Amino acid sequence: MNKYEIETESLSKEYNGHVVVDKLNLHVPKGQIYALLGKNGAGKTTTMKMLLNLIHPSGGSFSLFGENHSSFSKKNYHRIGSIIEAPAFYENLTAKENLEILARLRGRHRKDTVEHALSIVNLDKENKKLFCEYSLGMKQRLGLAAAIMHEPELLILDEPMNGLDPVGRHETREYLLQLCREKGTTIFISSHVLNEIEQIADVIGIINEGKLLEETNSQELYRHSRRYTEFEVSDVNKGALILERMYSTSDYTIIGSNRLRLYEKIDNRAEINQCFVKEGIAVTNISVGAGKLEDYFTELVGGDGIG
Amino acid sequence: MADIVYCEWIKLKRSKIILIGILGSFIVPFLVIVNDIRICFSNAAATLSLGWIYEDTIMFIMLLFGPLVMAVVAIFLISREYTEKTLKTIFVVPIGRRQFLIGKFIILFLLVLLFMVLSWLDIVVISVICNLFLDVSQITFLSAIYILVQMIKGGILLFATLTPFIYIALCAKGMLAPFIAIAATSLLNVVLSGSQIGGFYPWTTSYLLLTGRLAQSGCPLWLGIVIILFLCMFGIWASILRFQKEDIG
Repeated sequence: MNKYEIETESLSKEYNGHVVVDKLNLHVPKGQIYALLGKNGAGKTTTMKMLLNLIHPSGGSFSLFGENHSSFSKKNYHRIGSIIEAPAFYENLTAKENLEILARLRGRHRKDTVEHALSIVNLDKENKKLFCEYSLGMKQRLGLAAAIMHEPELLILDEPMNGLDPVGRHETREYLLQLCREKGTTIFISSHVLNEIEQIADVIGIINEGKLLEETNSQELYRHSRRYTEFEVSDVNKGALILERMYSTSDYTIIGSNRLRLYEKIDNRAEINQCFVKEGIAVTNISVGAGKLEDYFTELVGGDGIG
Repeated sequence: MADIVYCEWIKLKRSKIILIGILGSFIVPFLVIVNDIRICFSNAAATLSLGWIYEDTIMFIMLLFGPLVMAVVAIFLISREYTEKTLKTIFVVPIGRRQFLIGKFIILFLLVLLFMVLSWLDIVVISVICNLFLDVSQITFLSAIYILVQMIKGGILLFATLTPFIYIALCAKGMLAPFIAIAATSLLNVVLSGSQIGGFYPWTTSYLLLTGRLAQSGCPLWLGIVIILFLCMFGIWASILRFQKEDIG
Protein backbone atom coordinates (compact mmCIF):
# COMPACT_ATOMS: atom_id res chain seq x y z
CA MET A 1 0.00 0.00 0.00
CA ASN A 2 1.28 3.44 -0.89
CA LYS A 3 2.05 5.55 2.15
CA TYR A 4 1.69 8.83 0.27
CA GLU A 5 -1.69 10.30 -0.70
CA ILE A 6 0.04 12.85 -2.92
CA GLU A 7 3.37 12.30 -4.56
CA THR A 8 4.84 14.52 -7.24
CA GLU A 9 7.82 13.77 -9.41
CA SER A 10 9.61 16.69 -11.08
CA LEU A 11 6.23 18.43 -11.36
CA SER A 12 6.69 21.64 -13.33
CA LYS A 13 4.63 24.45 -14.76
CA GLU A 14 5.71 27.32 -16.91
CA TYR A 15 3.84 30.18 -18.51
CA ASN A 16 5.40 31.73 -21.60
CA GLY A 17 8.86 30.50 -20.66
CA HIS A 18 8.53 31.70 -17.06
CA VAL A 19 8.92 28.78 -14.66
CA VAL A 20 6.34 28.96 -11.87
CA VAL A 21 6.79 25.46 -10.46
CA ASP A 22 10.19 23.86 -10.95
CA LYS A 23 10.63 20.08 -10.75
CA LEU A 24 8.74 19.72 -7.50
CA ASN A 25 9.01 16.45 -5.56
CA LEU A 26 6.39 16.46 -2.82
CA HIS A 27 5.48 13.58 -0.55
CA VAL A 28 2.25 14.00 1.39
CA PRO A 29 1.86 11.11 3.84
CA LYS A 30 -1.48 9.48 4.38
CA GLY A 31 -3.43 10.63 7.42
CA GLN A 32 -1.15 13.56 8.22
CA ILE A 33 -1.21 17.31 7.84
CA TYR A 34 1.28 18.58 5.28
CA ALA A 35 1.86 22.32 5.24
CA LEU A 36 3.31 23.96 2.17
CA LEU A 37 4.97 27.25 3.06
CA GLY A 38 6.11 29.87 0.64
CA LYS A 39 6.02 33.55 -0.13
CA ASN A 40 3.41 35.00 -2.48
CA GLY A 41 4.12 33.79 -5.99
CA ALA A 42 6.23 30.87 -4.74
CA GLY A 43 4.09 28.40 -6.68
CA LYS A 44 1.85 27.01 -3.93
CA THR A 45 -1.48 27.70 -5.61
CA THR A 46 -0.22 26.58 -9.01
CA THR A 47 0.92 23.28 -7.49
CA MET A 48 -2.46 22.75 -5.88
CA LYS A 49 -4.27 23.63 -9.09
CA MET A 50 -2.21 21.06 -10.97
CA LEU A 51 -3.09 18.41 -8.41
CA LEU A 52 -6.76 19.30 -8.80
CA ASN A 53 -6.60 19.06 -12.59
CA LEU A 54 -7.46 22.73 -12.98
CA ILE A 55 -4.27 23.46 -14.88
CA HIS A 56 -2.14 21.19 -16.99
CA PRO A 57 1.45 20.50 -15.87
CA SER A 58 4.22 21.47 -18.29
CA GLY A 59 6.35 18.56 -17.11
CA GLY A 60 6.72 15.82 -14.55
CA SER A 61 3.95 13.77 -13.04
CA PHE A 62 2.02 13.23 -9.86
CA SER A 63 0.02 10.53 -8.25
CA LEU A 64 -3.01 10.75 -6.01
CA PHE A 65 -3.96 7.88 -3.70
CA GLY A 66 -1.07 5.98 -5.26
CA GLU A 67 -2.44 6.25 -8.80
CA ASN A 68 -0.60 8.17 -11.50
CA HIS A 69 -2.58 11.18 -12.69
CA SER A 70 -2.48 10.07 -16.33
CA SER A 71 -4.46 6.97 -15.42
CA PHE A 72 -6.31 8.56 -12.50
CA SER A 73 -10.05 8.33 -12.92
CA LYS A 74 -11.80 11.66 -12.69
CA LYS A 75 -14.36 10.04 -10.43
CA ASN A 76 -11.63 9.68 -7.82
CA TYR A 77 -11.72 13.46 -7.37
CA HIS A 78 -14.87 12.78 -5.35
CA ARG A 79 -12.44 11.67 -2.67
CA ILE A 80 -10.88 15.13 -2.54
CA GLY A 81 -12.17 18.34 -1.02
CA SER A 82 -10.52 21.64 -1.79
CA ILE A 83 -10.33 25.38 -1.34
CA ILE A 84 -8.27 27.24 -3.91
CA GLU A 85 -7.53 30.93 -3.25
CA ALA A 86 -10.61 32.90 -2.17
CA PRO A 87 -13.69 30.65 -2.27
CA ALA A 88 -15.88 31.47 -5.26
CA PHE A 89 -19.58 30.76 -5.50
CA TYR A 90 -22.56 32.05 -7.47
CA GLU A 91 -23.25 35.48 -6.07
CA ASN A 92 -27.00 35.49 -6.74
CA LEU A 93 -27.52 32.32 -4.70
CA THR A 94 -27.63 31.58 -0.98
CA ALA A 95 -25.07 29.34 0.74
CA LYS A 96 -27.53 26.48 0.74
CA GLU A 97 -28.32 26.86 -2.95
CA ASN A 98 -24.64 26.99 -3.81
CA LEU A 99 -23.91 23.82 -1.87
CA GLU A 100 -27.01 22.14 -3.34
CA ILE A 101 -25.48 22.63 -6.78
CA LEU A 102 -22.23 20.96 -5.71
CA ALA A 103 -24.10 18.16 -3.92
CA ARG A 104 -26.26 17.51 -6.95
CA LEU A 105 -23.29 17.41 -9.31
CA ARG A 106 -21.25 15.24 -6.97
CA GLY A 107 -24.04 13.03 -5.68
CA ARG A 108 -25.12 12.95 -2.04
CA HIS A 109 -23.60 10.55 0.41
CA ARG A 110 -26.17 11.47 3.07
CA LYS A 111 -29.57 13.15 2.92
CA ASP A 112 -28.67 16.20 4.93
CA THR A 113 -25.25 16.75 3.33
CA VAL A 114 -25.77 20.46 2.80
CA GLU A 115 -27.37 21.24 6.16
CA HIS A 116 -24.73 19.22 7.99
CA ALA A 117 -21.85 21.02 6.25
CA LEU A 118 -23.42 24.43 6.92
CA SER A 119 -23.91 23.63 10.60
CA ILE A 120 -20.24 22.62 10.96
CA VAL A 121 -19.12 26.06 9.78
CA ASN A 122 -21.93 27.88 11.65
CA LEU A 123 -23.64 29.15 8.53
CA ASP A 124 -26.87 27.22 9.00
CA LYS A 125 -28.69 30.31 10.31
CA GLU A 126 -27.86 32.43 7.26
CA ASN A 127 -30.73 31.07 5.19
CA LYS A 128 -31.67 34.11 3.17
CA LYS A 129 -28.39 35.90 2.74
CA LEU A 130 -26.99 35.79 -0.78
CA PHE A 131 -23.33 34.95 -1.33
CA CYS A 132 -22.65 38.47 -2.60
CA GLU A 133 -23.74 39.81 0.83
CA TYR A 134 -21.30 37.60 2.73
CA SER A 135 -18.28 38.94 4.56
CA LEU A 136 -14.83 37.59 3.69
CA GLY A 137 -14.86 35.35 6.75
CA MET A 138 -18.29 33.94 5.90
CA LYS A 139 -17.14 33.24 2.34
CA GLN A 140 -14.16 31.39 3.73
CA ARG A 141 -16.42 29.34 5.99
CA LEU A 142 -18.64 28.46 3.06
CA GLY A 143 -15.55 27.42 1.12
CA LEU A 144 -14.62 25.10 3.96
CA ALA A 145 -18.16 23.71 4.05
CA ALA A 146 -17.95 22.97 0.32
CA ALA A 147 -14.60 21.26 0.81
CA ILE A 148 -15.71 18.98 3.63
CA MET A 149 -19.37 18.38 2.77
CA HIS A 150 -18.71 15.01 1.10
CA GLU A 151 -16.34 13.83 3.85
CA PRO A 152 -13.31 13.49 1.57
CA GLU A 153 -10.25 11.39 2.31
CA LEU A 154 -7.94 14.17 1.15
CA LEU A 155 -8.28 17.91 1.68
CA ILE A 156 -6.30 20.36 -0.45
CA LEU A 157 -6.61 23.75 1.18
CA ASP A 158 -5.00 26.87 -0.20
CA GLU A 159 -4.81 29.49 2.54
CA PRO A 160 -8.07 28.38 4.17
CA MET A 161 -7.76 30.75 7.12
CA ASN A 162 -7.56 33.96 5.13
CA GLY A 163 -10.18 36.41 6.29
CA LEU A 164 -11.21 34.43 9.36
CA ASP A 165 -11.32 36.14 12.75
CA PRO A 166 -9.21 34.65 15.59
CA VAL A 167 -12.10 32.55 16.86
CA GLY A 168 -12.78 31.28 13.35
CA ARG A 169 -9.10 30.42 12.90
CA HIS A 170 -9.01 28.55 16.16
CA GLU A 171 -12.18 26.63 15.30
CA THR A 172 -10.91 25.79 11.81
CA ARG A 173 -7.58 24.63 13.17
CA GLU A 174 -9.27 22.46 15.76
CA TYR A 175 -11.66 21.04 13.18
CA LEU A 176 -8.84 20.18 10.76
CA LEU A 177 -6.90 18.51 13.56
CA GLN A 178 -9.99 16.57 14.55
CA LEU A 179 -10.58 15.47 10.94
CA CYS A 180 -7.01 14.31 10.63
CA ARG A 181 -6.71 12.57 13.99
CA GLU A 182 -10.18 11.03 14.24
CA LYS A 183 -11.10 10.30 10.65
CA GLY A 184 -7.64 9.89 9.19
CA THR A 185 -8.18 12.63 6.60
CA THR A 186 -4.99 13.68 4.86
CA ILE A 187 -4.66 17.46 4.72
CA PHE A 188 -2.44 19.32 2.29
CA ILE A 189 -2.55 22.95 3.35
CA SER A 190 -0.82 26.17 2.44
CA SER A 191 -1.01 29.28 4.54
CA HIS A 192 0.58 32.59 5.33
CA VAL A 193 -0.46 32.21 8.93
CA LEU A 194 2.71 30.50 10.08
CA ASN A 195 1.65 30.22 13.69
CA GLU A 196 -1.35 28.16 12.65
CA ILE A 197 0.81 25.91 10.55
CA GLU A 198 3.35 25.47 13.32
CA GLN A 199 0.61 24.20 15.57
CA ILE A 200 -1.05 21.70 13.28
CA ALA A 201 1.46 20.48 10.68
CA ASP A 202 3.06 17.07 10.84
CA VAL A 203 5.17 17.66 7.75
CA ILE A 204 6.32 20.96 6.34
CA GLY A 205 7.46 21.73 2.82
CA ILE A 206 9.10 25.05 2.05
CA ILE A 207 8.80 26.30 -1.49
CA ASN A 208 10.47 29.34 -3.02
CA GLU A 209 10.39 30.50 -6.63
CA GLY A 210 8.81 27.21 -7.64
CA LYS A 211 11.47 25.04 -6.03
CA LEU A 212 11.04 22.87 -2.97
CA LEU A 213 13.77 23.97 -0.58
CA GLU A 214 13.00 21.61 2.24
CA GLU A 215 10.59 18.87 3.13
CA THR A 216 10.77 17.65 6.65
CA ASN A 217 8.62 16.67 9.58
CA SER A 218 7.89 19.46 12.00
CA GLN A 219 10.00 18.04 14.85
CA GLU A 220 13.01 17.87 12.57
CA LEU A 221 12.31 21.39 11.48
CA TYR A 222 12.32 22.71 15.01
CA ARG A 223 15.75 21.21 15.44
CA HIS A 224 16.79 23.46 12.58
CA SER A 225 15.37 26.45 14.34
CA ARG A 226 18.42 27.93 15.99
CA ARG A 227 18.93 29.13 19.52
CA TYR A 228 20.08 32.65 20.13
CA THR A 229 20.96 35.25 22.74
CA GLU A 230 19.08 38.50 22.50
CA PHE A 231 20.60 41.68 23.94
CA GLU A 232 18.47 44.76 24.52
CA VAL A 233 21.00 47.56 24.18
CA SER A 234 21.17 51.35 24.03
CA ASP A 235 23.18 51.41 20.76
CA VAL A 236 22.71 48.52 18.35
CA ASN A 237 25.22 49.82 15.77
CA LYS A 238 28.00 50.04 18.29
CA GLY A 239 27.03 46.63 19.69
CA ALA A 240 27.16 45.08 16.22
CA LEU A 241 30.59 46.61 15.66
CA ILE A 242 31.86 45.07 18.88
CA LEU A 243 30.52 41.64 17.92
CA GLU A 244 32.26 41.81 14.57
CA ARG A 245 35.58 43.22 15.78
CA MET A 246 36.01 41.55 19.13
CA TYR A 247 34.17 38.27 18.61
CA SER A 248 34.70 37.90 14.86
CA THR A 249 31.10 37.05 14.15
CA SER A 250 28.56 38.37 11.74
CA ASP A 251 25.97 35.74 12.63
CA TYR A 252 23.56 38.16 14.25
CA THR A 253 20.49 40.16 13.30
CA ILE A 254 19.36 43.59 14.41
CA ILE A 255 15.73 43.63 15.48
CA GLY A 256 14.00 46.96 15.82
CA SER A 257 15.98 49.88 17.17
CA ASN A 258 17.47 48.29 20.29
CA ARG A 259 17.75 44.51 20.02
CA LEU A 260 20.65 42.40 18.85
CA ARG A 261 20.04 38.71 18.26
CA LEU A 262 23.24 36.65 18.29
CA TYR A 263 23.10 33.09 16.97
CA GLU A 264 26.59 32.09 18.06
CA LYS A 265 28.54 32.09 21.31
CA ILE A 266 25.46 31.59 23.46
CA ASP A 267 27.61 30.39 26.35
CA ASN A 268 29.70 33.59 26.16
CA ARG A 269 26.74 35.90 26.78
CA ALA A 270 27.96 37.06 30.20
CA GLU A 271 31.35 37.96 28.76
CA ILE A 272 29.76 39.78 25.81
CA ASN A 273 27.52 41.66 28.24
CA GLN A 274 30.53 42.82 30.22
CA CYS A 275 32.21 43.90 27.01
CA PHE A 276 29.18 45.93 25.93
CA VAL A 277 29.02 47.67 29.34
CA LYS A 278 32.74 48.33 29.30
CA GLU A 279 32.38 50.01 25.89
CA GLY A 280 29.65 52.28 27.26
CA ILE A 281 26.59 50.43 25.95
CA ALA A 282 23.70 50.10 28.39
CA VAL A 283 22.31 46.55 28.39
CA THR A 284 18.76 46.49 29.76
CA ASN A 285 17.88 42.87 29.06
CA ILE A 286 19.46 39.57 28.02
CA SER A 287 17.43 36.55 27.02
CA VAL A 288 18.05 33.20 25.43
CA GLY A 289 15.49 31.84 22.97
CA ALA A 290 14.92 29.57 20.03
CA GLY A 291 13.98 30.71 16.57
CA LYS A 292 10.42 30.16 15.49
CA LEU A 293 9.45 28.57 12.24
CA GLU A 294 8.98 32.02 10.77
CA ASP A 295 12.61 32.91 11.52
CA TYR A 296 13.83 29.71 9.98
CA PHE A 297 11.58 30.25 7.01
CA THR A 298 12.86 33.78 6.49
CA GLU A 299 16.40 32.58 6.72
CA LEU A 300 15.76 29.83 4.20
CA VAL A 301 13.92 31.79 1.51
CA GLY A 302 15.54 35.13 2.19
CA GLY A 303 13.78 38.44 1.75
CA ASP A 304 11.22 39.83 4.13
CA GLY A 305 9.57 36.68 5.26
CA ILE A 306 6.42 35.26 3.92
CA GLY A 307 5.18 38.20 1.98
CA MET B 1 -26.39 15.48 -17.89
CA ALA B 2 -29.86 16.18 -16.48
CA ASP B 3 -28.23 17.24 -13.19
CA ILE B 4 -25.84 19.58 -15.00
CA VAL B 5 -28.69 21.23 -16.91
CA TYR B 6 -30.78 21.49 -13.74
CA CYS B 7 -27.86 23.15 -11.95
CA GLU B 8 -27.47 25.58 -14.85
CA TRP B 9 -31.12 26.50 -14.35
CA ILE B 10 -30.62 26.96 -10.60
CA LYS B 11 -27.63 29.22 -11.27
CA LEU B 12 -29.99 31.63 -13.05
CA LYS B 13 -32.19 32.07 -9.97
CA ARG B 14 -32.68 35.79 -9.14
CA SER B 15 -30.55 36.57 -12.13
CA LYS B 16 -31.41 39.83 -13.90
CA ILE B 17 -30.46 38.34 -17.24
CA ILE B 18 -33.62 36.20 -17.19
CA LEU B 19 -35.71 39.29 -16.56
CA ILE B 20 -34.00 40.97 -19.52
CA GLY B 21 -34.78 37.93 -21.67
CA ILE B 22 -38.46 37.86 -20.63
CA LEU B 23 -38.88 41.61 -21.16
CA GLY B 24 -37.10 41.23 -24.50
CA SER B 25 -39.50 38.51 -25.58
CA PHE B 26 -42.50 40.71 -24.76
CA ILE B 27 -41.29 43.96 -26.16
CA VAL B 28 -40.96 43.04 -29.86
CA PRO B 29 -44.57 41.83 -30.42
CA PHE B 30 -45.83 44.80 -28.44
CA LEU B 31 -43.91 47.37 -30.51
CA VAL B 32 -44.84 45.61 -33.74
CA ILE B 33 -48.57 45.75 -32.90
CA VAL B 34 -48.32 49.42 -31.94
CA ASN B 35 -46.67 50.10 -35.31
CA ASP B 36 -49.21 47.98 -37.24
CA ILE B 37 -52.11 49.79 -35.56
CA ARG B 38 -50.50 53.10 -36.52
CA ILE B 39 -50.30 51.93 -40.15
CA CYS B 40 -53.95 50.84 -40.08
CA PHE B 41 -55.03 54.25 -38.81
CA SER B 42 -53.01 56.05 -41.49
CA ASN B 43 -54.01 53.68 -44.31
CA ALA B 44 -57.69 52.74 -44.50
CA ALA B 45 -56.94 49.84 -46.90
CA ALA B 46 -54.71 48.09 -44.39
CA THR B 47 -56.28 45.43 -42.22
CA LEU B 48 -54.78 44.16 -39.02
CA SER B 49 -54.23 40.38 -39.01
CA LEU B 50 -52.51 37.79 -36.85
CA GLY B 51 -50.38 36.75 -39.86
CA TRP B 52 -49.19 40.32 -40.42
CA ILE B 53 -48.29 40.77 -36.76
CA TYR B 54 -46.43 37.45 -36.79
CA GLU B 55 -44.46 38.28 -39.96
CA ASP B 56 -43.29 41.63 -38.65
CA THR B 57 -42.48 40.14 -35.24
CA ILE B 58 -40.47 37.22 -36.63
CA MET B 59 -38.50 39.60 -38.85
CA PHE B 60 -37.44 41.81 -35.94
CA ILE B 61 -36.80 38.82 -33.69
CA MET B 62 -34.71 36.83 -36.16
CA LEU B 63 -32.76 39.71 -37.61
CA LEU B 64 -32.21 42.07 -34.73
CA PHE B 65 -33.70 41.55 -31.31
CA GLY B 66 -33.37 37.78 -30.94
CA PRO B 67 -29.65 37.55 -31.76
CA LEU B 68 -28.95 40.57 -29.56
CA VAL B 69 -30.88 39.49 -26.48
CA MET B 70 -30.06 35.80 -26.68
CA ALA B 71 -26.38 36.41 -27.44
CA VAL B 72 -26.24 38.58 -24.32
CA VAL B 73 -27.72 35.63 -22.38
CA ALA B 74 -25.22 33.23 -24.03
CA ILE B 75 -22.29 35.51 -23.20
CA PHE B 76 -23.53 35.89 -19.62
CA LEU B 77 -23.75 32.11 -19.15
CA ILE B 78 -20.06 31.79 -19.94
CA SER B 79 -18.46 35.01 -18.78
CA ARG B 80 -20.06 34.90 -15.30
CA GLU B 81 -18.13 31.72 -14.61
CA TYR B 82 -14.93 33.69 -15.23
CA THR B 83 -15.91 36.93 -13.50
CA GLU B 84 -17.26 35.12 -10.42
CA LYS B 85 -14.32 32.65 -10.63
CA THR B 86 -16.65 29.71 -10.10
CA LEU B 87 -14.97 27.34 -12.57
CA LYS B 88 -12.44 26.29 -9.94
CA THR B 89 -15.31 25.44 -7.59
CA ILE B 90 -17.25 23.43 -10.18
CA PHE B 91 -14.41 21.53 -11.82
CA VAL B 92 -13.05 20.09 -8.60
CA VAL B 93 -16.43 18.41 -7.97
CA PRO B 94 -15.46 17.07 -10.54
CA ILE B 95 -17.40 17.36 -13.79
CA GLY B 96 -15.92 17.02 -17.26
CA ARG B 97 -15.23 20.19 -19.18
CA ARG B 98 -17.07 18.88 -22.25
CA GLN B 99 -20.08 17.92 -20.15
CA PHE B 100 -20.04 21.33 -18.50
CA LEU B 101 -20.01 23.10 -21.86
CA ILE B 102 -22.69 20.86 -23.35
CA GLY B 103 -24.80 21.75 -20.31
CA LYS B 104 -24.31 25.42 -21.19
CA PHE B 105 -25.39 24.79 -24.79
CA ILE B 106 -28.46 22.88 -23.66
CA ILE B 107 -29.57 25.58 -21.21
CA LEU B 108 -29.00 28.21 -23.90
CA PHE B 109 -31.13 26.18 -26.30
CA LEU B 110 -33.91 25.90 -23.72
CA LEU B 111 -33.74 29.63 -22.97
CA VAL B 112 -33.94 30.49 -26.68
CA LEU B 113 -37.00 28.25 -27.00
CA LEU B 114 -38.51 29.88 -23.90
CA PHE B 115 -37.83 33.29 -25.42
CA MET B 116 -39.59 32.29 -28.64
CA VAL B 117 -42.56 30.68 -26.88
CA LEU B 118 -43.03 33.76 -24.70
CA SER B 119 -42.91 35.95 -27.81
CA TRP B 120 -45.53 33.71 -29.40
CA LEU B 121 -47.70 33.97 -26.30
CA ASP B 122 -47.32 37.72 -26.43
CA ILE B 123 -48.33 37.87 -30.11
CA VAL B 124 -51.46 35.80 -29.48
CA VAL B 125 -52.52 37.53 -26.27
CA ILE B 126 -52.02 41.07 -27.61
CA SER B 127 -53.81 40.15 -30.85
CA VAL B 128 -56.78 38.79 -28.90
CA ILE B 129 -56.86 41.90 -26.71
CA CYS B 130 -56.66 44.16 -29.79
CA ASN B 131 -59.48 42.16 -31.36
CA LEU B 132 -61.76 43.38 -28.55
CA PHE B 133 -61.41 46.95 -29.78
CA LEU B 134 -60.25 46.61 -33.40
CA ASP B 135 -60.89 44.03 -36.08
CA VAL B 136 -57.95 41.58 -36.12
CA SER B 137 -58.41 38.83 -38.70
CA GLN B 138 -56.99 35.27 -38.81
CA ILE B 139 -57.27 34.72 -35.05
CA THR B 140 -57.90 31.00 -35.09
CA PHE B 141 -56.54 28.06 -33.12
CA LEU B 142 -54.82 26.66 -36.21
CA SER B 143 -53.15 30.00 -37.00
CA ALA B 144 -51.87 30.21 -33.44
CA ILE B 145 -50.49 26.65 -33.62
CA TYR B 146 -48.86 27.37 -36.99
CA ILE B 147 -47.17 30.47 -35.55
CA LEU B 148 -46.03 28.49 -32.49
CA VAL B 149 -44.41 25.86 -34.72
CA GLN B 150 -42.72 28.60 -36.76
CA MET B 151 -41.47 30.31 -33.61
CA ILE B 152 -40.00 27.03 -32.34
CA LYS B 153 -38.31 26.48 -35.73
CA GLY B 154 -37.03 30.05 -35.48
CA GLY B 155 -35.71 29.28 -32.00
CA ILE B 156 -33.78 26.28 -33.29
CA LEU B 157 -32.26 28.36 -36.11
CA LEU B 158 -31.50 31.22 -33.74
CA PHE B 159 -29.70 28.87 -31.35
CA ALA B 160 -27.68 27.42 -34.22
CA THR B 161 -26.33 30.85 -35.09
CA LEU B 162 -25.53 31.73 -31.46
CA THR B 163 -22.95 29.01 -30.76
CA PRO B 164 -19.97 31.03 -32.11
CA PHE B 165 -20.69 33.67 -29.44
CA ILE B 166 -20.08 31.03 -26.76
CA TYR B 167 -16.68 30.46 -28.36
CA ILE B 168 -15.95 34.20 -28.42
CA ALA B 169 -17.02 34.49 -24.76
CA LEU B 170 -14.66 31.61 -23.86
CA CYS B 171 -11.77 33.30 -25.63
CA ALA B 172 -12.50 36.76 -24.25
CA LYS B 173 -13.45 35.60 -20.71
CA GLY B 174 -15.22 38.94 -20.30
CA MET B 175 -18.31 40.57 -21.78
CA LEU B 176 -17.00 43.49 -23.80
CA ALA B 177 -15.48 41.73 -26.83
CA PRO B 178 -18.46 39.37 -27.32
CA PHE B 179 -20.86 42.33 -27.01
CA ILE B 180 -19.01 44.18 -29.75
CA ALA B 181 -19.12 41.03 -31.89
CA ILE B 182 -22.88 40.58 -31.49
CA ALA B 183 -23.56 44.26 -32.09
CA ALA B 184 -21.57 44.13 -35.33
CA THR B 185 -23.28 40.88 -36.35
CA SER B 186 -26.76 42.31 -35.79
CA LEU B 187 -25.91 45.51 -37.62
CA LEU B 188 -24.71 43.51 -40.61
CA ASN B 189 -27.90 41.49 -40.38
CA VAL B 190 -29.98 44.63 -40.83
CA VAL B 191 -27.77 45.89 -43.67
CA LEU B 192 -27.66 42.57 -45.54
CA SER B 193 -31.23 41.37 -45.02
CA GLY B 194 -32.49 43.12 -48.15
CA SER B 195 -29.43 42.50 -50.29
CA GLN B 196 -28.58 39.70 -52.71
CA ILE B 197 -25.86 38.27 -50.50
CA GLY B 198 -28.08 38.17 -47.42
CA GLY B 199 -28.82 34.50 -48.03
CA PHE B 200 -25.18 33.66 -47.59
CA TYR B 201 -24.81 35.51 -44.29
CA PRO B 202 -25.72 32.85 -41.67
CA TRP B 203 -27.66 35.13 -39.32
CA THR B 204 -29.81 36.37 -42.24
CA THR B 205 -29.91 32.90 -43.81
CA SER B 206 -31.78 31.60 -40.77
CA TYR B 207 -34.49 34.27 -41.16
CA LEU B 208 -34.83 33.71 -44.91
CA LEU B 209 -34.92 29.94 -44.39
CA LEU B 210 -37.65 30.25 -41.78
CA THR B 211 -39.83 32.52 -43.91
CA GLY B 212 -39.29 30.52 -47.12
CA ARG B 213 -37.55 33.37 -48.91
CA LEU B 214 -34.09 31.85 -49.15
CA ALA B 215 -34.41 30.85 -52.82
CA GLN B 216 -35.33 34.46 -53.73
CA SER B 217 -31.98 35.59 -52.33
CA GLY B 218 -30.09 33.31 -54.71
CA CYS B 219 -28.92 30.90 -52.03
CA PRO B 220 -30.05 27.31 -52.63
CA LEU B 221 -31.97 25.70 -49.78
CA TRP B 222 -29.33 22.99 -49.24
CA LEU B 223 -26.55 25.56 -49.09
CA GLY B 224 -28.50 27.63 -46.54
CA ILE B 225 -28.92 24.57 -44.32
CA VAL B 226 -25.22 23.68 -44.73
CA ILE B 227 -24.16 27.23 -43.82
CA ILE B 228 -26.22 27.21 -40.62
CA LEU B 229 -25.22 23.68 -39.67
CA PHE B 230 -21.56 24.46 -40.28
CA LEU B 231 -21.73 27.61 -38.14
CA CYS B 232 -23.49 25.75 -35.34
CA MET B 233 -21.06 22.83 -35.36
CA PHE B 234 -18.08 25.15 -35.60
CA GLY B 235 -19.28 27.10 -32.55
CA ILE B 236 -19.77 23.94 -30.47
CA TRP B 237 -16.61 22.16 -31.66
CA ALA B 238 -14.31 25.19 -31.33
CA SER B 239 -15.71 25.96 -27.86
CA ILE B 240 -15.14 22.42 -26.59
CA LEU B 241 -11.66 22.23 -28.10
CA ARG B 242 -10.65 25.55 -26.59
CA PHE B 243 -12.14 24.78 -23.18
CA GLN B 244 -10.47 21.37 -22.91
CA LYS B 245 -7.02 22.92 -23.26
CA GLU B 246 -7.60 25.88 -20.99
CA ASP B 247 -5.96 26.34 -17.61
CA ILE B 248 -8.45 27.45 -15.00
CA GLY B 249 -6.93 30.54 -13.43
